[in-house]
Amino acid sequence: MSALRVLLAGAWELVVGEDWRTAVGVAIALGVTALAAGSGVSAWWVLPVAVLALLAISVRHAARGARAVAERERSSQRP
Amino acid sequence: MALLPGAIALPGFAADLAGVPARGLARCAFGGLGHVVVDLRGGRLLGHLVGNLGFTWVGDHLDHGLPVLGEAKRRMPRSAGPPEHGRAVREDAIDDRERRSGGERGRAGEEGRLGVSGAELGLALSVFLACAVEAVEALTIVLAVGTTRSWSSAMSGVGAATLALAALVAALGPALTALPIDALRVVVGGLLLNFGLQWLRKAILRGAGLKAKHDELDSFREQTEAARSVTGHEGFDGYSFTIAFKGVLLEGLEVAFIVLTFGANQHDVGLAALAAAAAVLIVVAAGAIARAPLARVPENAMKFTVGVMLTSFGTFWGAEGAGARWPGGDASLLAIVPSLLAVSLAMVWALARGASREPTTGEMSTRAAARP
Repeated sequence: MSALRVLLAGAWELVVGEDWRTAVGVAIALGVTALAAGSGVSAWWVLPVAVLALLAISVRHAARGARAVAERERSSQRP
Repeated sequence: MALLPGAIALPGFAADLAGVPARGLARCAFGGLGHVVVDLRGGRLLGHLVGNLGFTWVGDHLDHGLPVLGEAKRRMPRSAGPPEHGRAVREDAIDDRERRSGGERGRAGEEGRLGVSGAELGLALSVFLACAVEAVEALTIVLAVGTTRSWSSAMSGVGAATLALAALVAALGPALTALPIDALRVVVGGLLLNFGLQWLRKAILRGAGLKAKHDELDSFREQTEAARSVTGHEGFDGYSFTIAFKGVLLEGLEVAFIVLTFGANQHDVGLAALAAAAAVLIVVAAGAIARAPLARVPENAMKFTVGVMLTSFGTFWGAEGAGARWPGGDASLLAIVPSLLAVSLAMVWALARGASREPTTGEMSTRAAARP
């Protein structure tokens, strides 16, 4: 059971990773690209724009988290 | 049929033409001179004379007849037919092969002296370049994960992908082109994009001093330990294996498609396969040479580069698989990679600038960077 749990966790880590919002955003962006391309619209630009937006959001979220952790560490070290 | 002038001057032509369907292509022998490919469309008979005379004629028998065939021999070079005669020109490719294998005279004799015809050279060069591009894409991914994570696992992925590819090609053969390559591109592109964005996010945070430099290594050790406890394979890195496997399998399939489509179109799959093999070997040799210098690149710089490359390839394949067509085809990667690199560096700069404005964050950054 524990081996299965480790494997499932590994699969989740592999496919989704630490930031599930990014994974969902990538899936949505691919879907929008497919819809746009299917309707005959030039769709090559959709994914690059989505990638830049997802990267910015993900980095901003992670930076806030890192700052919050550092702040907690500092607070715990104060006498 | 009675209007065909060739029936008088060229024995055999009329007899063969009697079996030609009302519409479509047929080939009619011209005795020792070669043959005609006829295309009956809309009541017009189009002739395409190829063979031992070493020229191609595409025209209208009903209007011109044999005297004009003589003119065409002098004026029209091979493959000079108008676009609407594409089918006839493809028949010409069959004849090229037949002439090559038949030890014929004339033009074919000239090709024999040179060793390779223009068409063969064009085929080999096209396949070589196209396959080299695909091989470079696969090599980039393998070098990236091999250098930063685990060479043994990455090479295991390469080996497994090569075996899977060989099995697919052996099992499907020419039917390989029926595989849903776009669906594969979407899956592989989406996963690579996800991996790449995660790598890139961490690399940007590290570059800005908001994340410890070596935490990835610690995480890797933890994962290795976990994998070891489950699988018993010491030092196996699932990430490296999976990324290398998918990259090589996808690019390998594209190489196989190129060989089959280009080769089948020119009726010379053997030559196309040879050109593809040469391209892959040369790219692999270049990768082996580049491996040592890459190992000297600072760790975080390499991880940053890997993040950019995985995200770029993921974007390219994902969009292509979803049905989008990149302007410039594969060359658009030359715009995607530097653009993403520039944006990522700008993010590092903006985050580091923000950190330097806040003394408390600056202290935190220093501590984070100094962590083992």
